[in-house]
Amino acid sequence: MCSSRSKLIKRSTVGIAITLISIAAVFPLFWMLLVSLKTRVLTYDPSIWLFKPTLENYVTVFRERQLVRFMRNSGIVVIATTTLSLVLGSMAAYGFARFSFRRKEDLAFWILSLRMLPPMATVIPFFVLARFTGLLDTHLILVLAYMTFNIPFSIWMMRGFFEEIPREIEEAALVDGCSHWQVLVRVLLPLALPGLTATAIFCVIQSWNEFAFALFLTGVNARTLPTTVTFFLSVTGVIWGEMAAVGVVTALPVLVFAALVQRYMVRGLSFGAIKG
Amino acid sequence: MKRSLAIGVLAALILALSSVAFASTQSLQDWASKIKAECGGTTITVAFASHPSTEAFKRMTPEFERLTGIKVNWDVMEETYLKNKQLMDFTGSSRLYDVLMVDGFWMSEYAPKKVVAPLKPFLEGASTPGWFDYDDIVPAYRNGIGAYKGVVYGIPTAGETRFVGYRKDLFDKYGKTPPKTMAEMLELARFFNGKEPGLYGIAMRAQRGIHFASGWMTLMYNFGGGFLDQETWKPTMTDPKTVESLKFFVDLLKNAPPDVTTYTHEEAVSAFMAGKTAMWFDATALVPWITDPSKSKVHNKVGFVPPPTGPGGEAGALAGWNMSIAANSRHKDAAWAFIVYMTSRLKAKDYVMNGGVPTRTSVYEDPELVAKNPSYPVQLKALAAADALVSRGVAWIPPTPKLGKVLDRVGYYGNRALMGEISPEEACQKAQAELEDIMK
Amino acid sequence: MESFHSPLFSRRGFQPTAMNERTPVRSWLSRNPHWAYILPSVIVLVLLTVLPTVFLYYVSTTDYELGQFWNEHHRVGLENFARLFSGRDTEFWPSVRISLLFTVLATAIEFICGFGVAILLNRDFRWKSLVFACLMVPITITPSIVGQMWKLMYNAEYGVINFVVGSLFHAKVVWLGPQLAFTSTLLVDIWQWTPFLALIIYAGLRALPAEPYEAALVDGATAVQSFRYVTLPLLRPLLTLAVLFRSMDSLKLFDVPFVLTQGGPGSATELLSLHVYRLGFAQTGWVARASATAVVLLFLIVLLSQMLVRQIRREVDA
Repeated sequence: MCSSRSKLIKRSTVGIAITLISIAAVFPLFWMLLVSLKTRVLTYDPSIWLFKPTLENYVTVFRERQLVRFMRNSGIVVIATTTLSLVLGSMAAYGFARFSFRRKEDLAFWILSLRMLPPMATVIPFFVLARFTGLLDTHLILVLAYMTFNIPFSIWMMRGFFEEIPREIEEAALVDGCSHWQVLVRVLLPLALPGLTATAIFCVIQSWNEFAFALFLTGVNARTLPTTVTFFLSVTGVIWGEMAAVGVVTALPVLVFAALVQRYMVRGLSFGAIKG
Repeated sequence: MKRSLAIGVLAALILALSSVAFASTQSLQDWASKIKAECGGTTITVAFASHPSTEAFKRMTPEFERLTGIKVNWDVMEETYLKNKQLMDFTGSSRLYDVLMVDGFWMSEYAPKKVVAPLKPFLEGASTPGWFDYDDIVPAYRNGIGAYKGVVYGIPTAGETRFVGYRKDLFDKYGKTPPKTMAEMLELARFFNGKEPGLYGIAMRAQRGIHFASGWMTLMYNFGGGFLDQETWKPTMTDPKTVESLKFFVDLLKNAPPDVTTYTHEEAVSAFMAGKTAMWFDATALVPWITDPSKSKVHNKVGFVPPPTGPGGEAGALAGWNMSIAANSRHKDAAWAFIVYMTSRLKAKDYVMNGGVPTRTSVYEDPELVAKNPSYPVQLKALAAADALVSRGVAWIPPTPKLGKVLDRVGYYGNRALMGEISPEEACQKAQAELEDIMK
Repeated sequence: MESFHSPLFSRRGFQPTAMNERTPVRSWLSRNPHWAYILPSVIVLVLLTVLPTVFLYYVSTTDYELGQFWNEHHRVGLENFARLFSGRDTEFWPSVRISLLFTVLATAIEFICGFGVAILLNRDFRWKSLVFACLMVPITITPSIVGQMWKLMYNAEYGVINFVVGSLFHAKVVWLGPQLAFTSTLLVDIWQWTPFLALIIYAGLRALPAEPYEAALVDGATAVQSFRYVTLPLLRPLLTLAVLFRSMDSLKLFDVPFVLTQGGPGSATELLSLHVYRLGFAQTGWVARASATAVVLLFLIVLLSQMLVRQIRREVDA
């Protein structure tokens, strides 16, 4: 009796805690949605939660701010950089996971440390580099810039996943006459698919949301979604409604993608760092 | 008799107006077809700040594109990014931009670095029609924000000076009159601070860095102070007048909302519009907001007066935006055509009606526009005060290529004084030391 | 696993005759098979990061300014660094302190809270995938935009947070004022990244093998004991990795504080990366001084990550 009651209390406490945490996590998105549906005057009154929504802000951002163009730019850059990083990263990860060589850990560490490069440190050299190669304001320069953090991340993640896979499977394939390359493509990658998906989603998130490089390396043609935030900081104040509308539109694709591959993402998050 | 005279004058006026209009449309057509023949099919890219005037120009663009066959690509962003990108475009010779929107504060840096092209050849060239009318632009703007060392680099498009807005209802209620001197303003700010629940004395911009420096400059010259001696370019931060102006600014802002240390012009005007402060001392360009019923709680309760005089006499701010041609531009003629069309006298009224900020005498004196914007006469008075400063041989924005650095450092120490971390005297001394290093 | 002497793998190395055509590249590759996989990434990374970094070092020893022609710069040796370390740049040391404090606090708090949330999640309940979807919101949402949203929510006058605080406690908090700006920025970071750590740790908890627990149960261990002696040691490599990622990311954090406070008020939230931005870009255009600061930031990051990475490799290889 007593224990069942304390169990009930415990369960409801846990339930309440989880609910509160979830609400806290979602609240800024919720508020952004609310603001995006408000007229400008209502933005400055936080006491109003129920109102007749207007789609005015969405219409404006699509019609006058060329949002579709920025979405296309973001999409091209993200898909290209993620694909390239996954291909190169998986190959290198395999090299690290399955071969032993001198100074391997030093090399691995060096690669990981590249992910830590602060964008503020590399933006100026990148700008000059882009200028000499004529790549300024192209999708390619962003694809390259994002590879500086996506490749190291992919290598690090995929290495963990490959090391998780028992060697016996692979050795069997090698005995059957497969080359290392075939082993990687036909055996390891399918087995590491959850990890690959998790790596992909993180590459997508990081590139989709990147701000500093996009701001300094693009002008008109290759501008991506996150930098559109600067449209709305005007001399006469922030245009909150439109900014929120862009925020919602920007957040949605990645949110949906993340929700779809949720299971892989959570599993992949263990980075293969747990050894059973 | 009187009446017929009036009718006669009116008729003459209408005739004159329509003939002017006729003549200009004529030449607009001529001009446009000439431009179309020379530059039609060109695409120009313009780098502009998010600003009401940019919105107005954007609305005028389809017509321009139709007339001239020049396609306009807009790159619009917040002003700090804008400066970065313009400079990076220049440094990197990426030649993305043709027309730049240039803050008057940047002109003294852009001109010597040759980021922007001198406009004299264009102004005197055949491609500039009569209806452009450069001389119609308020002289203070032409010389104060569009030129560097007497050479024209920009056409002023959005001018601002600064003046005081006050709450008529509160001033009437307590039997006060708007301030004429700095001392009165401080007294009034103290009087109204806390007089009613949630009411503060005054709102101004005071965020660390360039904003604080800019807010301080709003009243510094009225004390006779200055950051730099504009002849020798030696820092004058420890000049007693400069120190006194900082002390005054800090004292004044003790009667501002407690988070004033984070205010830019935006937060300052928002506080005033929300009815939180009795006074506001900032840019004339923001007035349309204050008087807009959909944005402002005090839209019908405000009056405006020119900047109060101080121990150093009369002085007024002079700032604003220009359109300039990027020195790197590949399409300078098309760029100039864009500038001519957008900033001409012919289109000035259109521009203001679309939300633009005036720089032309013809606009300030246009009866229809004055009826809509009662603050125009006060703005002209404030501009006269700005002229007074010019006649003292002092430019409100000190024309030095190192201005950005100077303002950043001055605004850093000033803001610390406002937060009470150091005394105003100490702030001035430290700023002096850094400025000496910068200016050497 | 370190020294991997499987006969299958070394076969290639010792039987080069298996290769028919023996070009130098091929023979080198057959002696070092791993390079065939690693080299493409390494080449790309060298081009994309080493060159820029070398350039950064060079710029940090000049007096180059934004907007100058490149050939106008002068070499000034270590003058820029001398300026930083001697305190002539008055904001440098405070911003190092703020950056480190921010990193330590953010990582520690997010780690502890994340652990708590992970333990809460590590059970079966209804709506679990909905809760997970909620937790993914802060991770996936664009920081530059959500930073702006927080700025609106934090606003002392018309922000929703003060609306809630005001109606509950009749208090008004100046969130982004001098006293609280640092805490407020930290709060946003905690909001953004606690779910990330919670999910990582949760994933780790789920991946734990069952046997050690069964063994512990047999030995009569209490729940606390099995947590202390089984869970923690097994999770350690993952936890260190999580700490590594989080601490590095908070050290180089830029976009959120940039849109939220711009480093202010005063220098209350001027992290090193913001100091770099302010020196090099905002108004002053001292690109060379900014580069020197960036070099210091890089050095800090390398130092800290080296320590953590060593730790991880030791644990993984143990």
